Amino acid sequence: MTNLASPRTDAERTVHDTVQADGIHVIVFWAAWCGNSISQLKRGLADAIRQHDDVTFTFVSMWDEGQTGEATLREHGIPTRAQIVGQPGVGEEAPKEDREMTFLGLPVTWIPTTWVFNRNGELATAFNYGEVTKHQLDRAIRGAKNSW
Amino acid sequence: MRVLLLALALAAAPAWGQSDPDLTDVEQTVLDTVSEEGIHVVRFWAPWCGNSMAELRAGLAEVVEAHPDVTFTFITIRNGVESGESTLQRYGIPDRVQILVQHDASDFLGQSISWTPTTWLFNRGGKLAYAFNYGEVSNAMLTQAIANAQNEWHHD
Repeated sequence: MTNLASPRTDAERTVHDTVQADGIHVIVFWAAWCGNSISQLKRGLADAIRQHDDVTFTFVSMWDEGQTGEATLREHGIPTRAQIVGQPGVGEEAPKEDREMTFLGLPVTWIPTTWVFNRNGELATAFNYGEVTKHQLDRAIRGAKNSW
Repeated sequence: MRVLLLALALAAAPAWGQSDPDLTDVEQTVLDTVSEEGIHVVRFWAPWCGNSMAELRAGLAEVVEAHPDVTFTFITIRNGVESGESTLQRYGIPDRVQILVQHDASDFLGQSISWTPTTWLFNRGGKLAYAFNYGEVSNAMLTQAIANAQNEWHHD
């Protein structure tokens, strides 16, 4: 079982409870001010959500003073079925050393970071750097669903 | 091929990325490796594991050969003290690959290993850039991950 730390915030509690359920769960860490996060939104994330209607998607806004960034997600066509939460903490202008670098005890050292969970709480794939294309995410979801 | 037969016992999980006196020798070796500048691939595998062997048969050695600037560490897990070195040689894994053995690797550097094979990529002085913790990693996926890990994205 993936070593998830006990939730400390509402956002962590939401993700913790979500990934324990049966099925495949995608968690996207992002911020509305982050160019890479916005670029990832433009690379087919909304299409991926519509295509994988049996997969849950949760957007966790990080390093943005707890704001959820919901308006930005809607502008980019993220469907309403996606969960949207904001992790408390410092914002864009704060020194980088003040940023929280873990979530549920796992490293989040970059945004966007994208995790794919399966097997009731197992972290199957973690994209912790750069940007994830729809093709990469499709492949990760397929791999997570596969009974190897 | 360098084979290091090191401690088999795994101590309590340390906080991620932190030096910890309870690290096994294998964990410390990996921590030292991935803390260096550059891209580092760490692969947990076992010679008895069909998915691990499928990755080798798919030409994992070619990915190693194609990336001379990337370090590769293979950690043989759940296989007693046997490194599986002869198996790796049979599939053309180059000598420069570091081979380590740790039988009990349910937790490693504070992260759980719930599947064999598991493949991690590190960059930025020891940060975990990508983790493939389930199924098999294709050569295309690994090559893409290495390229992305090497990419200088425009913010941090």
